Amino acid sequence: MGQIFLRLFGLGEGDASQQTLTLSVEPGTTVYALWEGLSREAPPGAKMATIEPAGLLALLNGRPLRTQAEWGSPVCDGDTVVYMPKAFGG
Amino acid sequence: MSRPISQQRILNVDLTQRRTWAEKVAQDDLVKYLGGRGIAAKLLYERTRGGVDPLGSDNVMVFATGALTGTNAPSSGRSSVTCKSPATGLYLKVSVGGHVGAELRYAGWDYVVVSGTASGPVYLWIDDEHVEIRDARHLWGRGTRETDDLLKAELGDEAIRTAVIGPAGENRVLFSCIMVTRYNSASRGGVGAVMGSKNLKAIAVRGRGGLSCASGKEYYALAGQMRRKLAADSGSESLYNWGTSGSIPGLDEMGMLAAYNFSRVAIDHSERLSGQYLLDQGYLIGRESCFGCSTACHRYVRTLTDEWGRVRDAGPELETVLSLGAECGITDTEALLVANRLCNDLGMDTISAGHVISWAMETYERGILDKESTDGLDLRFGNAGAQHTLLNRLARREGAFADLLANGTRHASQEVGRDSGTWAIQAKGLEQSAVDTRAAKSYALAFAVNPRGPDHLMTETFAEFGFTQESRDVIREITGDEAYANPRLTEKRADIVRWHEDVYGASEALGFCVFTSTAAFAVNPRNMAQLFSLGMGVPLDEKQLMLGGRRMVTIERCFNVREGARRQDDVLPWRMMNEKVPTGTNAGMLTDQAMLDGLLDQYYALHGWDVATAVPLRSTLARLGLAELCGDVALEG
Repeated sequence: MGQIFLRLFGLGEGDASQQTLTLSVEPGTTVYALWEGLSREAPPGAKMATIEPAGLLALLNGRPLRTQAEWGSPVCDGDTVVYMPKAFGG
Repeated sequence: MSRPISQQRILNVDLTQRRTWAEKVAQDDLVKYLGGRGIAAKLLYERTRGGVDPLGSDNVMVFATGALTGTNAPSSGRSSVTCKSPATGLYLKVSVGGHVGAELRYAGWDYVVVSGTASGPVYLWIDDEHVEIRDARHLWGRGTRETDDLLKAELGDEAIRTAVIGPAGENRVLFSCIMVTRYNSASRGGVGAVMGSKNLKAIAVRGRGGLSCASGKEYYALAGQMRRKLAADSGSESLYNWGTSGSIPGLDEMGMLAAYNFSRVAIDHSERLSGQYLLDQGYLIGRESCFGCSTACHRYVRTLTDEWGRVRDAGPELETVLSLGAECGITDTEALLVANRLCNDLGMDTISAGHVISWAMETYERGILDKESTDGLDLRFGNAGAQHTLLNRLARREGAFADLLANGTRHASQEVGRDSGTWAIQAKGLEQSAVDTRAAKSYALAFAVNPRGPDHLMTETFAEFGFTQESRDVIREITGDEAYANPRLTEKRADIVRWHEDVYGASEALGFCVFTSTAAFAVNPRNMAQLFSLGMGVPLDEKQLMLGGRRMVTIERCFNVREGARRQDDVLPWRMMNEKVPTGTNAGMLTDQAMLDGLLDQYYALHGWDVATAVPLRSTLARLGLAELCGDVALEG
């Protein structure tokens, strides 16, 4: 069991739209599996329950995960994982 | 009465002679240059000569609407303004949204070409076919908001759309802008100063006509299909929810948030700069769309306290919160909304204004400037009050220090000396937008070769990050392998940049917002070409469309060659090339001269330009059908 830091942006309402959480995860849990778990536990209709991984930007320790294979990266004790809807600016 | 969109008309305005006349655009030119930015490039090249004074009467301003602007093509309300820049002495194209482009087309005009200089302040009133040069002495010195109000009252029509300069443009501040339809900014390179130098305070437009497409039914069906695809894109949803500054958390997490004049890549409380924060805390009170856009990325905001003054105004864009905020060490949201409002009302480009001030702040903190040399300002990073005072002074060139900064970072650092040019975030005389070009190599190349200086608004290579499957598909299409969707690689960067240049040029010629074509990818070369064909009644395929984009890039390069620019001018700001990213996931990264040289070699060769000088070869111009227009500057080969 390892402890990771999870940051979520734009996946909740109001003040909950930016959250930092500390989670315990089983060894070998991947970034994809972690998202699946979060999505499953979210209330029906909530953004986290409805948004597809393809519409998300995931980062592992600041590194963007671009491909399906990279989403398969395991998370380790002390890691920071970020999920947010993809966004662009200018 | 509907006018076919293929029958394009130029309104010529000679302010010296106080004369106006109409001219038609040749059909062949429309297909060759695609309209908008493309026709503007041709007109500017033809109607100016090398060495023309950017602030003299011989400089020409081309206001151009997109070829599809005014129709229901999604997010196609963009227009451009093209002239020679007083900040760089080189080619300048600025792009802007809002509604003035569509209004101009409904008035029966597609381009307004302004030459000469009026003997006193004037504004141009375009009321369908009726065109009038009117006295503007009563408007001179007024802010852009008040000018917009006064014009509507004076002309008795709230539906009028305007393009207006503020005091900064009148005082020829080299980063002054034009405010369009009140809340949209045509910025960069001192375009407002060019308008000010012509004593042209504003253009006011009212159009009551319509536009028609050659194959209307098919056109509207395809446009509707593109609109639905765009609306389904999750990036579009984020833009609606949080605006462009919704990217702040991502930039922060990736260690790419430019702060403290690019000396750091992170700042405490960065969340206060974000679109998410504006929404969550109640600053956001509305969303605005440009003509024909269903995304509505513009913000309408208010301050919640009186600490820095009351604001109910357009909200800050991503580049604004970075340049006026993080780069100046400021994360006070209320202060930032006031700074943004000041820039808009005074008519100043927020990117350059922010970076001129962040350069002055760093110079002050290093002890090279003091309170005496800043005319009493304590310019430490984070001092929002001093920033506001300085913004007001800059627009009016009040005092010696503001007068110095009003000529831009390049000039100011040359005057101050003592190595201060090494932290002047500029190249070619233009302040760089707040993208860290040390950690993204296509961006680095695109910024270095940008004819107007280092920013993301001539070519944005967002796809190189490969965040989405669509962007990786684009990279595969360009390079043959999606593995090149990696911003740290130097291979294939020229291919990636040139593809984006072509698409960017075509998008802007047609009037599309580039978010749709280089970020969301709902608008692509294929459907752009189809829409052009259906609208104009002239066959155009994807390849011809891309060639149209390339012609623009080539004319723009030739313009700069005519002004004396060569390979050595294609650089990045000193700090980007010599100081490594200090912290975060990109720590240690740099785009140094050797790396940039390799990228430039690839790029010039791919374009068919002389690699040693960056001058287009005669054979390249012939292949593009540009030998007659630009052959005067070509090298043999």
